[in-house]
This record gives sequence, C-alpha cells and structure tokens, in this order.
Amino acid sequence: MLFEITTMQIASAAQPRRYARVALRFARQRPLGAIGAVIILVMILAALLAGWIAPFDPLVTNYTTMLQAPSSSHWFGTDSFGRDVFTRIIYGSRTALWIGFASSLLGATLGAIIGVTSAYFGGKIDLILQRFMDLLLSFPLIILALVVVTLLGTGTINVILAIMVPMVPRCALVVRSSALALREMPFVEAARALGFGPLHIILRHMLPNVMAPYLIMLTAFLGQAILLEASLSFLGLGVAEPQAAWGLMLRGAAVEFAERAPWMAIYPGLAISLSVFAFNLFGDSLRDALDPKLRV
Amino acid sequence: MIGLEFAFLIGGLVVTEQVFNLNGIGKLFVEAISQRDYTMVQSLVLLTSFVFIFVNFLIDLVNAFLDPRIRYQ
Repeated sequence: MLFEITTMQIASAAQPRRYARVALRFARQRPLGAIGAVIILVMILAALLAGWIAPFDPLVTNYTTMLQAPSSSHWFGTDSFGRDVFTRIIYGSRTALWIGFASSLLGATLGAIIGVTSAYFGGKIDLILQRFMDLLLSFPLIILALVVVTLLGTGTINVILAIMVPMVPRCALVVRSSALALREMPFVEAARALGFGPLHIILRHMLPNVMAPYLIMLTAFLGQAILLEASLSFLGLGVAEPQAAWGLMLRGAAVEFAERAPWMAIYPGLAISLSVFAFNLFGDSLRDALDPKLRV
Repeated sequence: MIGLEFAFLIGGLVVTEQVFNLNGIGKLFVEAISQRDYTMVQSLVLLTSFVFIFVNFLIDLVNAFLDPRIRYQ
C-alpha cells in the first residue's frame, strides 16, 4: 500500500502547482535536504550556463598569468598553464554532472528492470540473474570500475559505462526485494488474470510501483558517481586532460605546486566535497520522505 | 558493517597510494592498467575480490560466534 501512495504523490506532482506545494512541504520538513537541493540546483545552473558565467576560456593557456594567487580578476587563482581555476571548476561541474547523471540514470534503470524481471519470473530466471548480480557485487566498487576502464579505455562515454556497471547490481538487489512483495499484490494477479503478458505487467504495473526505491537509489548513486568520476580522473583513467574535470585538476601539476599554489588543489577539492555532500543530504532526506522503512 | 567498510577501504587504497606515492597493490593496479598489462590486472582483481570475500566470510563466522541467535545452514 505504501508504494501506491508514494507513486500517487509522484504522479500528482506532475501538475506544477501541486509540485510547488510538495517542494515547499519538503523544504519545511527537511531543511537539510532543501539545502542540498539548492546546492544541486546551483551546480546544475552553473553547468548549463557555463559559457555565460565563466569569465575566461577553460582551455586557452596563457603563460603570462601562470600560477597567480586568487585575485579580483582570477577569483580562485590560475593553474600552471595560466588557466583560470574558477572557470575550470564551472566547466568541471558540467563534466561531473553529465557523467554523474548519465551513469546513475543508466545504472539505476537497468538495475530496476533486472530487479523487477527477476522478482516477477522467480524460479530459475531469478536464481540465474541473482547469482550474476552477486558475482558483480563481490568486487569492490572502484575495482570493478577500474576493470571496465581497463577493458574499454578512457574517455567520457567509457567512464559513464565504468561507473554504471557497479551500480546495476546494487539497484537490482533493492528493487527486487520490494518487487517481490509487489508480485503477490492483488492488482498484479488481476492483470495476469486479464491475460496481459509479462512485458506489459512488468512495464505498466510493476515498474511504476517501485519508483520510490528507484528514486532513492538514484539520488544515492549520484553522489557516489561524482566521487567515483573524480577518483578515476585523478588516477588518470577517466576524462582526458584538456577537458575540465575536478579530479583532473587535483592531479599532476597540482601535486607539484601544492606548496607554491595551493589554490590549484583546494578549490576543486572543495567543489568535489560540496557536491557529494549536497547529493548525500538530498538523497537521505528524499529517502526519509518517500519511504521511511527503507534503509539502503 | 566491517565487511562493507573493508570494501570501501580497498577502494580507498587505490587512490590513497597514488596521493602519497606509496608502493602497494593500488599503485601496481593503476600502473598495470595504464600499461595495458592485462594478466597483472586480472590477478590483482582476483586477489582483491578474494580478500574481500574472505573477510566477509570471517565476519560471518565471528557474527555467529558472538551472537548465538544467528545460525547458518
């Protein structure tokens, strides 16, 4: 019953006025989550409007302004190639959010589909799918991402795939457990009695009702995905150099000049921590709001 | 909980060893990947996941030992 109530809330939220009211109630009841949401919104705006906000070009090197301390023209200073750190952080948020959203959306969706399918069919299919998911779960998160990078090579698309793969089994597990209870519900049985095929029942009746755990896993993944992207880039196995990415900015010259130009490492580091913190805050509050019983 | 923490620690190892320039499995891993040394990567993945599963197994044993209500078939 709980799932149906939450889906009704989500569905009714499609209307703009109700949506605003739901958002307002969320903000009043969970101020921490609202703070997280505001930080996320600012990040999204910065990423979308990077071309207008950023005072400099993130890629053009300028050797006359090398390693400058933070000043009024270069808010966060410049790096060893004379590029503005503030500009690169704004453009880096574009990379981080794009990779974060793409990988967690893909991972959570694929995981949800696998979880619901496995719960609906049960028996042998369930067993095979779950053992395969257990196989993927037996690798630590970053190790699995590293393996995918080894197989596919670096680059933005490959990093998205690398982060997606460890996310799938975790989401599949959680979704499966709530779909198992759902399978025994009368409305699923009614759909089956009406003669609908498994595809229709899974897509139209089961998937909408696992939206609550799905959304919770999605927001929980977002912070992790950004962190994972930053660590992959830091190791030199993620996004390639000229592109602005927070993990990349911590690497290489930032380590060399850590004492002379600490701003090169401090600000991207702050950006990573702040964004992961915001996503975790928002995810936790969303989990409490949607489904107090679920603990991931 | 220790089992989950341990997985996180192994993951952290890879980054931390790079930061402090320590020689360990994490650094070996990154170097093996950048040099496309597939056999080395394979063995390291096998090693880390074996350690991870083994630690989880030990934790299950300790759990059963500490809390007599937990029984495994």
